[in-house]
Amino acid sequence: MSMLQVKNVSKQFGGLAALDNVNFSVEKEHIHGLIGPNGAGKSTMFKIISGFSSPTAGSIIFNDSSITGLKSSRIAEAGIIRTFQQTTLFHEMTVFENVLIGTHNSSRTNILSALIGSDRKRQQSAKNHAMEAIRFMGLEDRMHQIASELPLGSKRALVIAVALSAKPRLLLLDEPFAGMNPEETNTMMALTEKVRQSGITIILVEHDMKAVMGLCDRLTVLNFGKVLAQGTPKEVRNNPEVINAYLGGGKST
Amino acid sequence: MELLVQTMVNGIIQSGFYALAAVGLVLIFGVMKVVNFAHGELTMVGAYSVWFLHAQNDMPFLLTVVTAVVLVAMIGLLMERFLFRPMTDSPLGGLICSIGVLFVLQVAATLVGGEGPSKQVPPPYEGTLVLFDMLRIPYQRLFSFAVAATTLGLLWYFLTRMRIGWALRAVAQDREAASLQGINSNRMSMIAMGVGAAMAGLAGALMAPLTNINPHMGHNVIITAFIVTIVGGVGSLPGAVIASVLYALFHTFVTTYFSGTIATISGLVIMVLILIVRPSGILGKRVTE
Amino acid sequence: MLAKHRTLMTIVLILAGLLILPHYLKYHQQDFLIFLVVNVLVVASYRLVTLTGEWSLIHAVMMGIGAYTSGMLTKFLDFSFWISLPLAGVVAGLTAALLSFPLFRTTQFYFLIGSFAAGEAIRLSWIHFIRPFGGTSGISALPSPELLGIDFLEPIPYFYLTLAIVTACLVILYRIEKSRIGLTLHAVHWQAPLAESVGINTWNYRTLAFTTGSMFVGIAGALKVHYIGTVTPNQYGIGFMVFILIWLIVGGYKTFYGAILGVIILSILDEMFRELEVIRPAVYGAVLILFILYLPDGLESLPQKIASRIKGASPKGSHS
Ligand SMILES: Nc1ncnc2c1ncn2[C@@H]1O[C@H](COP(=O)(O)OP(=O)(O)O)[C@@H](O)[C@H]1O
Ligand SMILES: [Mg+2]
Repeated sequence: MSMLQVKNVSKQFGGLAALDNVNFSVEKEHIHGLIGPNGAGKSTMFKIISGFSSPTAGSIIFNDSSITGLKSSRIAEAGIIRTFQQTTLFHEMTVFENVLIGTHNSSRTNILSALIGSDRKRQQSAKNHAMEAIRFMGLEDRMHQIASELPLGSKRALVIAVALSAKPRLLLLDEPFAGMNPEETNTMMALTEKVRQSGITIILVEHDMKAVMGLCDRLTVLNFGKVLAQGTPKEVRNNPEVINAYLGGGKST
Repeated sequence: MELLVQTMVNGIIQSGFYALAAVGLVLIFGVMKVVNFAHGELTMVGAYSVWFLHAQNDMPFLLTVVTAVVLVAMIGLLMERFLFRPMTDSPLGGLICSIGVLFVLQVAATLVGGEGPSKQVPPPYEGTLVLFDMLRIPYQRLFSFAVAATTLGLLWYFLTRMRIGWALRAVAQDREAASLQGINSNRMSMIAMGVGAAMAGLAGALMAPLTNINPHMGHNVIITAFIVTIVGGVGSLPGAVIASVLYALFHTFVTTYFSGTIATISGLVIMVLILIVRPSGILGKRVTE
Repeated sequence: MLAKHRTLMTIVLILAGLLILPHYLKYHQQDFLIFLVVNVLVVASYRLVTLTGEWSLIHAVMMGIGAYTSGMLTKFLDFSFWISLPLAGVVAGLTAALLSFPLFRTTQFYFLIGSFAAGEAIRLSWIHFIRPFGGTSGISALPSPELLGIDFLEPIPYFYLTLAIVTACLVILYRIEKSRIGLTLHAVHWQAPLAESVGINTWNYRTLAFTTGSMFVGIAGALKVHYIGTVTPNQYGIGFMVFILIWLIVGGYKTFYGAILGVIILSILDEMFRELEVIRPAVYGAVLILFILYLPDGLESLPQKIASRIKGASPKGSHS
């Protein structure tokens, strides 16, 4: 059984069908690419999977149970963590605080235990866990820097560190390589692969074809809200429709 | 039956004031994203101007109305230029500035008019129109309503039929996109604030002969304007006008049959209920995300 | 560690000073001191509400709810002050929790206006329903607390009582802010979508801050009302709400002690400029405007600002 199944999902914005009867499924511990030109509906798909938006029709099945229409925080608790297309961070806070907030699910507390300090063990293990995520993403030297002052590569790494500290089972990455130079992209690709090796399933939205082709096990191509093609990177690359509509249409940024 | 019709007419006439005040508030919020808490005080200044110039110093009524409008528009422009514009990135900052202005204007009014009881302006248009032997409408009210309605009509023409009105709406919709199209958004803010304040001043000037004038009269005005704005849908001018009529009718009826306080309390409760079931108001677009 | 000790020492010294201070004050100055201590709790609790970035305009009314609750329980139902005091907090907190359902369906502008409307509706009800709220003139001749034969009617004992309760409340508020919960509230403020994405239920946390802040201001209301012995609707109107805003902004809303600093300095200045009378509100209005324009982070940020001026270093971009 697939980890995530997207079944007949549609999303209307007024007259515009941002998603139109989309079906695909994601296997455990795969990196699943979701590609397509700008405006194809990729970010909308992420919003729907993560509960930030509800579909007009269709359903999302995660590990055999429907998560359609649940609140975003509930879906995050279930283990689906998304990142945002813009580099979204707690910009005013330090790297460590950012990641610490990410551990919410395993460290939440109530006022009473916070006051009398009975949750100390829990908070300590959250801190350890946050440290792990920071080391995993190679940010330990920047621990106490303010997020807004980081270089782009580190910001992106922090975005993923925050997501990792929330203990995802399925991670949704929205254009993590956008605006990076080739060197930064290579580092980030290695990190993404490392995340998968640690047992986390990933759905990747990305325009950088080198990264997509290099990382993904399977691809789903969206165009105007419809699934244009699915398959391994090789199959998709050779699909004439895809070449026509997308890959052939010049280099995407 | 008589009371019913009379109350209805009173309500409709009342709606003219509500709409003038609310539409200005909506316009300012729409274009500048600032909640002008001093809006009621702008109305109060309008009323005070009429009291001071007309009742105290015998200036002709119509001239004082015009003077009041110009004066309040000037205050609005100063607020835009020196308070709201530097606070463009911080909507809360604008709101807090307007609270500061609220106090300054109240004190200014106290200094001009002195403390003591509320002031009255003798109505310059005397007499009452009697219709069908039962409806009684004082000419003063009729005049105020006519001016309010005409002004709203002109505003509608300005916003929908003139290029500059179109630019104003473009800024209200998306400030950045409008800037990209070459619209000077600072200028639009000045226009919105000028027009919005002028309308508040007009409401106050027209109200002056019909109400008790004191430095705190703005409080009721702002409560009414908030209710009307939320019920009509923030950012929707037609919504604000329709909500003004509905709320004025509602308020007048409840005041006539129960009491003014009950009317205001239920208005506030309705407003909170609207926030629950339809935060975007009766005419506002539903916010999707 | 050293800094921590120094802070602790400062606090102990301030408390010690406060303990002996009233004995050197005139009667009306003792009054002033009691109100000041109560108002410290008012702003500190308001700050908790604003931590999630939602500025409510109902805090003054919440204080009134505490005042009416405690006043009515002690006067009409003969409750002891020691029971009505926590109940004042509970009733204000419950009211906030109930209001969260409509109010937090929205944020920012809508929340602000919604909270203002809800507050006015409550306040107008006190005016309108003469039974049991007493209308415009409110309820008076409220009993003062008593414990172990000590009558807390006189200013000095009442001051000690207030100081003890307010200090306890401040410790709790401070610990909440410095705990995991405080961090989460900041997260909700700065980047609600990201907070949601890692499992934070932002609605719950906004409600939590609003409810807890209201609870503490309810307690402040009870403390105030049993000292002056009267409660009226106009004590808790938009006028008082504006004072709370001014204290917070002038002091600096970004830190715990900034807010407290604001209420202390402004109250003392206010006391010194009593003869301004009529124009006092205008002075307040002008101060509010000047601060928001030129010192938006409040007095608390002043030392840092001066330091960076002197060093000639470029001022750090401190707010977004
Ligand atoms: N909140 C929204 N309201 C209206 N239209 C939207 C909204 N979000 C996205 N869209 C539209 O849906 C389409 C898909 O957008 P998106 O999912 O962001 O595309 P992608 O991420 O593939 O570039 C676009 O046409 C976009 O304009
Ligand atoms: Mg996108």
